[in-house]
Amino acid sequence: MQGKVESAHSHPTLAAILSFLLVFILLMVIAVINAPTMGGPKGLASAATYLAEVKHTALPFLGVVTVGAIALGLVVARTVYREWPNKRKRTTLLAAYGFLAPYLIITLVFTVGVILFAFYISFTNYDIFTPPQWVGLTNYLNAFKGFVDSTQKDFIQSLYNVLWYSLIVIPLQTSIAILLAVMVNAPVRMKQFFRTIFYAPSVTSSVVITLIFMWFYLKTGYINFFLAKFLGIFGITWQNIIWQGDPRGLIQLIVNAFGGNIPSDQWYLRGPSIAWMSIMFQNIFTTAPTFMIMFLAAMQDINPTLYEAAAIDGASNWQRFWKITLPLLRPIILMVIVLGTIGTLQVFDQVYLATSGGPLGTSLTPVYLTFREAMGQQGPIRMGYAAALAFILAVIIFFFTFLQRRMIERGTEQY
Amino acid sequence: MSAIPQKLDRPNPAVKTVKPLQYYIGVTLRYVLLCAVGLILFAPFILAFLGAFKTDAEIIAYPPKFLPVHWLWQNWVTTWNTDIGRGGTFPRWLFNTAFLSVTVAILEAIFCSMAAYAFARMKFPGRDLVFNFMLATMMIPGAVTLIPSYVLMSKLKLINSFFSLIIPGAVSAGGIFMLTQFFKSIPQELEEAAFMDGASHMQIYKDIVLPLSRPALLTILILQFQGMWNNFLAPLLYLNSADKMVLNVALSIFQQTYKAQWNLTLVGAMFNAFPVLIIFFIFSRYYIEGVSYTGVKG
Amino acid sequence: MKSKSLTVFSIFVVLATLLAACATATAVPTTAPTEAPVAATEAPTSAPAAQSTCPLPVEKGASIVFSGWGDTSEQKIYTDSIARFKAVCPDVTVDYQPIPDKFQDKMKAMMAGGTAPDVFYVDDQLMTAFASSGQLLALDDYMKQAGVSTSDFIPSLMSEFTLDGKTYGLPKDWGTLGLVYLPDAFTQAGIAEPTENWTWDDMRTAAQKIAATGKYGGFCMAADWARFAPFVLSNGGNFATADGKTATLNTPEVETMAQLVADMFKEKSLVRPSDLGASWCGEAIGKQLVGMTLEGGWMVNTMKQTYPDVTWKTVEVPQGPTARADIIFTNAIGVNASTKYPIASAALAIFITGKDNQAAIVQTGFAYSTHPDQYSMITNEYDQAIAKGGLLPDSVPAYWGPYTGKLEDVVSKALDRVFLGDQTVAQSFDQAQSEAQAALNGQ
Repeated sequence: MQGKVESAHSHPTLAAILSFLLVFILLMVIAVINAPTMGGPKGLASAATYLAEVKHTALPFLGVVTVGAIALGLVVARTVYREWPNKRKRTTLLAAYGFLAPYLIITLVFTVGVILFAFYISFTNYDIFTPPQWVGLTNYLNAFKGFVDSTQKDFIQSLYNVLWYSLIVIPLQTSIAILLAVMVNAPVRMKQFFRTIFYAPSVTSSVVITLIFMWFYLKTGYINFFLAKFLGIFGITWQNIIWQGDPRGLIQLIVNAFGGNIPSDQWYLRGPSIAWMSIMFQNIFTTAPTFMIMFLAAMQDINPTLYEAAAIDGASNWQRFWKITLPLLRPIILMVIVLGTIGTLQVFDQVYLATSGGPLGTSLTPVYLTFREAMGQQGPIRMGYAAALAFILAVIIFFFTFLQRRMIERGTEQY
Repeated sequence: MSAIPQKLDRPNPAVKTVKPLQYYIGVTLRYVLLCAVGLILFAPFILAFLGAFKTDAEIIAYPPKFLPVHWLWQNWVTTWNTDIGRGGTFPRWLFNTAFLSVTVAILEAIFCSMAAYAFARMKFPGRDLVFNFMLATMMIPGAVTLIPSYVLMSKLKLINSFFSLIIPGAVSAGGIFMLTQFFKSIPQELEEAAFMDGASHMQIYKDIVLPLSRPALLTILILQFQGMWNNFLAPLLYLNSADKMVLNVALSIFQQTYKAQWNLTLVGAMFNAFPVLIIFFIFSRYYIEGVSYTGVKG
Repeated sequence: MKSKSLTVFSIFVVLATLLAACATATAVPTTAPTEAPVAATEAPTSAPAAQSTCPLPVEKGASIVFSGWGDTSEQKIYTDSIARFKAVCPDVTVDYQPIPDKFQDKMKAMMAGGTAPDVFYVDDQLMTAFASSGQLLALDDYMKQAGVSTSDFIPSLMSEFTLDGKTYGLPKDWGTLGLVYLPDAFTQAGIAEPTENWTWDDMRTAAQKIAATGKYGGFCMAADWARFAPFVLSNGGNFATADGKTATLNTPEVETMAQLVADMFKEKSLVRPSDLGASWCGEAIGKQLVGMTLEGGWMVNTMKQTYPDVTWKTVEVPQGPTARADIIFTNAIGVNASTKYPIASAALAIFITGKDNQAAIVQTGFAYSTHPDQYSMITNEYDQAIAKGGLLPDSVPAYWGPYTGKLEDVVSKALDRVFLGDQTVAQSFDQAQSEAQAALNGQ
C-alpha cells in the first residue's frame, strides 16, 4: 500500500518537470525562429549565420520571451503537479490537451510567434534588411501626430474614414438585413430558394465581387447608366461621374448645393467622399445577406404563439413587427452592430484593389495604411510603424469585441 | 362552450372562408418584391456572366447593353487555354485550388472539432484561458504579420510548397468557435452514458459526437473550402512557380496577359466563382445554418 | 471560419493600366512606362545573334534565376534576350521567371525570406528598399572587367541607380513624354500644327483656339505629377533638390507653372481626362475628344492596337521659359547581393543592358535603348519625336531619393486640389511643400 501510494506520488514531480521542459523548450524554439533580426538573404544564409544574428540583435527579445516562457512553464508545471495524482483529472487533462494539441502547436508556431515578433518590432525602426533599432514609443506617438501636424494625417484620416464608414454602413446593413429577413421569413413557398439567392453575394470571394463592381462603377458602366435612365424619367439629367475617383465629400456636396464651400484644410468637415461611399455600397451588398441569416435564425426562434395572441388582440402586421419582433431581436441587433463595427474597422481588400487609398486619401483605412507602410510602397519599408498601427487597431477592435461579449451575455439573460 | 378556441392555427373546416382580394394582392406583392430584391442581389453575377461573352468594345461601350451581340464562346475557350509556360495552365490552377481547398477543409473539420470537443465537453484547468486566447488571436489584423510570416515560412523552407498554406490553414479560431457552440447545444446524455460505461474521450468523440454533428461538420467543410478557394495574398506570396498557383492569383495573370480586357477578366472571375456558387446552391441549407451558429446561439 | 487575417487578405491585383486610371484620376501611363510599353510594332523578328563574347568569365555550371514584370510581349523580348545571352555564355543556365503583377511586393517578400532571384528588374521602389541595406550587388568591378563604363549609358538614367558612388543597377530602358496631337483638331481650328520650336505659350494659344471650335478639347492633362513635371523642369524648377532632401514645391519656378496650368484649366483650354469621359489622356486622343496632350512612347502601340484608324502625330515636348526639359521614367537590371553566382549574374545584367542586346530590343519597337548613340535606331518617327525629350540636357529622371513615391503623391494631390477649386495655387503648393518636406524628412 505504502509503495503504491509512493509511486503514485512520485510521478507528479516528474510529470511536472517534464511538462515544464516541454512548454519552455517549445516556446523558446518558437521565439528563436521568430526572432526579430536582420532578415534577408544575409541573415538567412545558413543556420549558423541566423543564430549569430539572433545572438547579435535579438537577445532582449529572447530575454523577455524567456521570462514569459518560464512563467508559463511554471504555471503549467504547477497545474500538472496538482492534477496528476487524481487519475480522472489526469486523464481529462491529458486528453484535453491532446485534443487541443494540433490547434495549439500550429497556432503557437505560426501565429503567436509572429505576433510576438510584430509586437517587439512595433517599438523599433525596422526595414527588414538591417537590424531593428529600438525607438520605444515613437511609432505609437507618430501615429497620432496627425492631430497636431497636418502633414502626418494619414492615420488620423484613416480613422476618420472608418468612422464615417461605420456610421453609414452599420445602420444600413443592419436594417437591410432585418428587412431581408422579414421578407424571406414570410409564409411563401420557395422560401428556401429566395433565401439562397439573397445570400449569394456573400459567397464568392471579395476579389471577384470587387472586380465586378469596379466594372460597374466605370464611367461607362451600369451604375451610371441606371442612374441616368432612372433620373431621366423625372427629367433630371445625370452627369456620369467617375465613382471611384471622386473625392468630393458628402457634406461638401450638400454645402456646395447651397453655394458654399469647405476649404481643403478643413478636410475633416467634408464627410465621406463619393469614392468611399461607392465602396460602402458595394460592401453592404455582400455583408447584409450574412447578417440576414442571423436575423432569420433568431426570428425562427421566436415563439409563434406570441404573434397569434397579438393577432387575436387585433394587432396589424406592422404593429406585430414593431412591438414583438424587433424587441425580441434586440440582442441580435446589438451583436450584429458590434460584429459589423469590427468588420468595418478592417476594410482592406476593396481599397487595395480599387482605390489604393482613394482620391486625396479619402478611402484610406487603417489596415490598408498598415499594409502600405509594411510593404514600403511610398518610401522605405517601415515595419515598425506598421506594426504599431496594427496594434493600435487591435486595441480598438478588442475594445469592441469586449463590448460584444458583454452585450450578448446581457442579451441572453433577457430570454 | 369555451370562449377561447382550443386550436388557433387550424381553421374550422366546416366554415368556408373566402379570402379577400386583399390577401391575394398581398401574396402577389410579396412575390414581386422578393423577385425584385433577389434580382438586384443576384444582378452582379448575371451581368458579369453576360459580360463574359462580349467583345472588347462592347464591354466598355456606353450606353451598356445587357445582352452581348454575339455570344462569344471563344472568350471562354481562350481563357481556359491560357498557358504561361512551365506548367502554368488553367486546368492545373483549378486542380491546385481544389486540392488545397479540399485538404484544408478536411483537416479543419478534424482538428477544429477536436479542439471544440475539448472546450465544449471537458473541464480542465486553463480552459477559459485558452478559449479567450483563441478569440483574441482573431483580432490581430493580418497586415502586419504578412512579411514576418513569409520570413518564417522561408526559414522553415516551406516556400513554394503547398504545406505553407495547408499547415497554418489546418486550424482556425472561427471554426473552433462555431463548433464549440454547436457541441454545447448537443444534449449530453448519450455521452454521459458512454462515459459511465468506461468509454474514453477519444471513443466518445469519434463514435458519438462526430456522427451527431454532421450538419456542423459539413458546414465547416464548406466554409473552409470556400475560405481557401477565395484566398489570395497568401497563395500569391507563398506559391511562386507557375505550376503551383491558385485561381485567384491566376486571375491577376489574366489581367496582365490580356491587358485589362474586361471580358476575359470576367470569364476568369466566372471560373473562379462558379464552383463556390454551385457548392453553395447544393448545400445552402447547411451553409446558412452554420452561419447562424456563429452568432446567434451565443 | 478562416481566420480573419487570411480572409482579409484575399486581395486582388490592380488593373495595371487603363482601367486603374478610371478609378483614380492619376495617370495610368505613369505606371505604364515602369511596366514598359507593350507589343512589338515593327520588325518583330529578333535581331541577329550578338557577335560579342561572354562579358565575364562566368562560373562553370552557373544556374541563375531572372525575374521581371510585363505581359506576354515583354516576356518574349526577354526570352529572346536570354537566348542571345546563352549563345555567348553557354555555361550559364538562366531560368526566366516573370512575375506579371505585384512585382515589388513579391520581390520584397522574397528578398526578406532569402528566396529572391539572382537578377531582376530594379525600379525606384526596389532601389530604395534594397540598395542602402546592401541587398544589391555593386556592379562597378564587374563592369570594369567587362569593359563597360557608366558613361556608356545616358547619364540621367544612371543617377537613379547610383548610391554613394557605386552602381547598383544598369538602366535597361526608359520612356519620356512628348506632345501628342491630332492634326484634324488643328485643321478644324484653322491653325498650324505644332513644331519643334513650340513653347508652352504656343501650346496654350493653340489649345484655346481648338477648344473654341467646340469639337475638341484643347489640351488634356490629368492631375498627375508626371505630366506636370515637364512644365516645372522647363522653368528651371524641380520637385526637390537633387539630393532628395529638400522639397522645392513652393518656389516661384514651380508655382508659376502651376498657375499656368490652373489658368488654362479655368479658361477651359485644359481639360482633365475625366472631364472628357476618358480614363487617361491617351484614350482621349484615341477617341478624338481632345486636340493635344503629353504622352509617351506607349502611345505608338496603344494607337495602333486600339485606335488604328485615328491619325495622330507627335513633336518633342515644348520649350519652357528657361529651358526645354522632360521627365524620364526608367528601370534597371540589378543583381542580388547574395547570389551564389555573382559573376554569371553580373554578366547577364551587363549583357541585357549592353549595346548589342539593346539594339535588338529597340528594333522591336518595345522600348528605347539606354545608350545615347543608339537613339537613331528608333524606327518609329513618333517614338523619335517623343524620345528627343529624354536626351535633352536638362531632363531628369523621376527619382528623388527613397521617398519618391510619397513626393509624387503629394504633387498629384496638390494639382487635384487646384483643379477642384479647393485652393489657390499658392495655398495648395504651400501645403504640398510642408507635406513633401515632411515626407522627405522621413516622417
